[in-house]
Amino acid sequence: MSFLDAFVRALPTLGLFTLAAIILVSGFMVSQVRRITHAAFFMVLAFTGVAGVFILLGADFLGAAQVLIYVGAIAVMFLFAIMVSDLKELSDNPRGTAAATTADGSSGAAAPAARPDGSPSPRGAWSVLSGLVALGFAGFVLAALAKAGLPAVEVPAASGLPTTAPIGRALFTTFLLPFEVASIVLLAALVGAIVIAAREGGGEAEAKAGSPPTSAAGGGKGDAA
Amino acid sequence: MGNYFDVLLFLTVGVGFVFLGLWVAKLLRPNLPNTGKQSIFECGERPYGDSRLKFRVRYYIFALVFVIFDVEVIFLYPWAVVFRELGLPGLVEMVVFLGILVVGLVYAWKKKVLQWV
Repeated sequence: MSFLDAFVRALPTLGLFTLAAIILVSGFMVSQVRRITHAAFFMVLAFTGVAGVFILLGADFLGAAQVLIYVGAIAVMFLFAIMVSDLKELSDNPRGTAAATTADGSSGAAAPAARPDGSPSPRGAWSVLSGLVALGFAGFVLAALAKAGLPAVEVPAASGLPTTAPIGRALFTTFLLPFEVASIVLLAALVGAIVIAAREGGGEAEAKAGSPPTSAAGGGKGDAA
Repeated sequence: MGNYFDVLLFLTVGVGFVFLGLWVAKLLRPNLPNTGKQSIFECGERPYGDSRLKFRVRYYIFALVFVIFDVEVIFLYPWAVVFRELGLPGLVEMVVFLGILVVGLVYAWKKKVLQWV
């Protein structure tokens, strides 16, 4: 019984370390995995781990937001980006194929060309360089955190009570105007995305619909004349 | 915190179910691999070419529109939790919020970016 009590009490710590391990390992796999789609799914796993950390900290709304926005939307956007990008170029990239310890048939054309002239050395140099940069950044962040001396604030989340209802109450009474403005911001983002996409992808899609602008231009010319 | 114990239990059982099922299946099934079984199944057709191909960039707009409405859903979540407290004003607030976003949807519709060509 006392063992079970100790286990239940240690559960949050245990969960935090498990989640941290999941986040770190999947983050590392994002950088190491050869296929970019696999990297995207490892990123999803890392995002899910962060959601778990939020829930463990008592920030249940943030956890839900993390799952909805990052695991749901951002991941889908990444997968769409991978889908519309030219992946053949990426998989034929010599540095990319050199990263794989086992080159399969599809990369066989590029890999032997990169192997003989000492592919481990540039890769090794890059690994060391990026490792140093990562360590330096981590040191910088830790030093900044230590120097900042974060105050022990009383946050509602730390009480362990659900945070969603207070957020909802505040959002729909005190912060009603920012909330409604948020919808206008979202509308602007949507319209802006459509305008930019219509301009970028206009090559063949608007060739068919290209007659109205020319007729309008013709009308303008007629007015000028 | 206590109600997340259920989540942990559910997660453990869910993950365990998958690996237990795979492990038991590995114990029970006969292992007779051949090249036909190892080929990629594509609805009975013989697969050809690369599985990855470039889609047209205009499909990216679906992802963008989806992200916008996903962000909208995150506002619906706290609203739904306190909906009874808010009463009629809460409903009106959300209708205004959604109404503004529906303008964007109508714009996307009129611009024909929702069409799958």
